[in-house]
Amino acid sequence: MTELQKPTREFLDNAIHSDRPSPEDRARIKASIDRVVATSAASRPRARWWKIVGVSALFLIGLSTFVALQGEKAAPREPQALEPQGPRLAGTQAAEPKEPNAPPPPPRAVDNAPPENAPALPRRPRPATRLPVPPKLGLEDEARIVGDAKIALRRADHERVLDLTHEHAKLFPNGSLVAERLAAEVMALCALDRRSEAKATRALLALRERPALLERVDAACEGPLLPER
Amino acid sequence: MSSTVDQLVAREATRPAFDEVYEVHFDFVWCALRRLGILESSTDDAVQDVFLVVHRKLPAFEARSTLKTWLFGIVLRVARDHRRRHKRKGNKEPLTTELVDGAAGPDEHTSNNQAWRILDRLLGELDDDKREVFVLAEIEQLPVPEIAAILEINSNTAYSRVRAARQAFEQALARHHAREARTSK
Repeated sequence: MTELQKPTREFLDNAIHSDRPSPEDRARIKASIDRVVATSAASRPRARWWKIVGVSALFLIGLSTFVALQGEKAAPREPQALEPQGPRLAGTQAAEPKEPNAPPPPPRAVDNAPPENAPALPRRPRPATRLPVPPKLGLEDEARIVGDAKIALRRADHERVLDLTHEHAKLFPNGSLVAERLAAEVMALCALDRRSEAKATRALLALRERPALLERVDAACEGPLLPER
Repeated sequence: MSSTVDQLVAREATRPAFDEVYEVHFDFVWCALRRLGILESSTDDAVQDVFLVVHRKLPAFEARSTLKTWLFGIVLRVARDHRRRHKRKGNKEPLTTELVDGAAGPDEHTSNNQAWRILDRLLGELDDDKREVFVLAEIEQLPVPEIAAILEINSNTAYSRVRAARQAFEQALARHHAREARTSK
């Protein structure tokens, strides 16, 4: 393939290095990104909530339509038994037999209430109202939290490790990564010199029968964490 | 199950944090956007747009390509979007900065600035496809297969586009030299 000629290459190399962002550019844009991210993070739960409400509303409408259709199919109306007493629109009164000199009945817009002696109409089952279901957390979410805790551990941000492990404990008390969480927690507690808590958490980890993790934890924590025998 | 979990954890643990990506790649993103024809006054907005996309999509980054290639894909889309918006607004002003004739001063900064302005104008003479491929091949020095992957074109098309872009740039530079020679007489 044809390469650029030498003078063109030199011109290009010279020009490329002449346009660079300044540290001020870097800081200014970062601050602006942080602002936008913070704003969108604040509005995200509300947006998610509205999404859940919307989906639930659609679901309820769909469900009630379905139930209504099923109800009509399952319980066909009995016109002979119900027609004389059943609810009827005012326009249908013309069909009723009338005495020629009888005074006209008072006009009724809609006859909603069935007469007292009318047989009970079959009631359509009402759809149960359901509260919006919180989004289901999966293994990916669990792995993300534990992964973040590991990153924080690598960066020696031990307070963050503890925040993340507590979050994990709250969201996934019986998750697949409990042992990993406990290990990260013990190492963070050791680093913060909270040895009694570290010892207690290590005891929980020991119950999980993960020798490799225990070894790693013991190697990371200076001094013995093993319970005295 | 366990291996899937391990893979997931390993992926999460090796995923670079957003701040790291910003620190390491800020200069690259900024320069790439400038070379793709983003106006000086829009550079901040474009860089911000790129990093907001990065912030949103970084958790899903699966390292199937290098981070730089992935970033360049985002940079390209944002640059195209800015150019499209610029055209839609009916701006007559070119996206690239205009060369100020005779602006070359004695100090290094001015001459550097002038070199960049010349390059910017020459790149502005290429059409968008050639400009993108030229920036990727000659300025960012990416191999052609990677360029093909970023631009979602096949390798042969990428090779021929790179060749055409080089020729177009050489011709633009020759025209620039000819103009300079005329004005200096």
